[in-house]
Amino acid sequence: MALTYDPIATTTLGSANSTITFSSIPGTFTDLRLVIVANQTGSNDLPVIRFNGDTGNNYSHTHIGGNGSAGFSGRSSNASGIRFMSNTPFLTGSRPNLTIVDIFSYSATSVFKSVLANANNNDGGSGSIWRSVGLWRNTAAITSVTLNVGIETMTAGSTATLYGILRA
Amino acid sequence: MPITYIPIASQTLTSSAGSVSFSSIPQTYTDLHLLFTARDASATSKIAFLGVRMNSVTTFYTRVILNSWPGTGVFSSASSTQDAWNTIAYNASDTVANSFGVGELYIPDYTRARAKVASGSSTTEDNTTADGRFYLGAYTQDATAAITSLTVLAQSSFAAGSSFHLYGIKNT
Repeated sequence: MALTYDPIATTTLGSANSTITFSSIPGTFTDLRLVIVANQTGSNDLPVIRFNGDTGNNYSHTHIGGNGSAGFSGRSSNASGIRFMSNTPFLTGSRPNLTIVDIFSYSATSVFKSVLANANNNDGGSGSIWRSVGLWRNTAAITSVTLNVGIETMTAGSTATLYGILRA
Repeated sequence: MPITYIPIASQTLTSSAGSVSFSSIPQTYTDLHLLFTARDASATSKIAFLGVRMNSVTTFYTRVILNSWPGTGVFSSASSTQDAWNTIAYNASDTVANSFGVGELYIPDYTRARAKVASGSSTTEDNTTADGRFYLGAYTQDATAAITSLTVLAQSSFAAGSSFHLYGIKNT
């Protein structure tokens, strides 16, 4: 019996690293879910998600969020990755960021790829909360997903799990 | 082949109750996912708020909230001194009859010996202008013990028909 919600792979960093990549993703599911629980070692760069190693300016996003004082919204166009927290890095302390990214119709070859990201960056009562929609302007099936924090690194113990979700 | 998304327990109330508890949570999963549909038995200006406690901890829950109130605006607030993961919205008894709020709370790494985080989404809706609200929450709790129980606390009491479902998610 095919599983509806199937763990494809989990990465837990044994040492600090700037990227977590899931490659050779099977094309047999309908959607993907990426669950990230992570910290950064420094705050001088931002987390992004990229597909199939594409580092070109082929991504965009729109977000709504709150910083504990006010709500806000914004967007970016022609970006080099999907910035699911816009201008905010992962937390650098003991409390991790929790981000859940849903990637829809990832293996379809007739659509640009859309994601919904739910990012929670609460450092003990201060921080931010985000909901973002992202777009990768490419009709290729997604075979790899990369989480990257640029010039910073994700701390040892940061985890990311990729699930495949199969429709009826 | 192991199943990844597994129902742990469900409770559907046949009479009102001030809280619902899930105890002896197996430690064999990676994440927890709590889903609910709820209605409060008291009239509290259309909206009630529930809280979720882990184990017997009653202090130092924190939240960052994003919420919407149609016709009024979008707001954000934060607190570091709560007694539960709260500001999770559901319908009060003065909303349209038979309407229930819905929501979820996702708790990753619940057995891991580190600070706990959670993500919540909740809503109220009854087809009435200005009654629909949306609440999103980013939560933390610095207690490092594994979560073995969850208690869902009503603002007043959960009405009959309110239901709560706890799922375990395995990452292998």
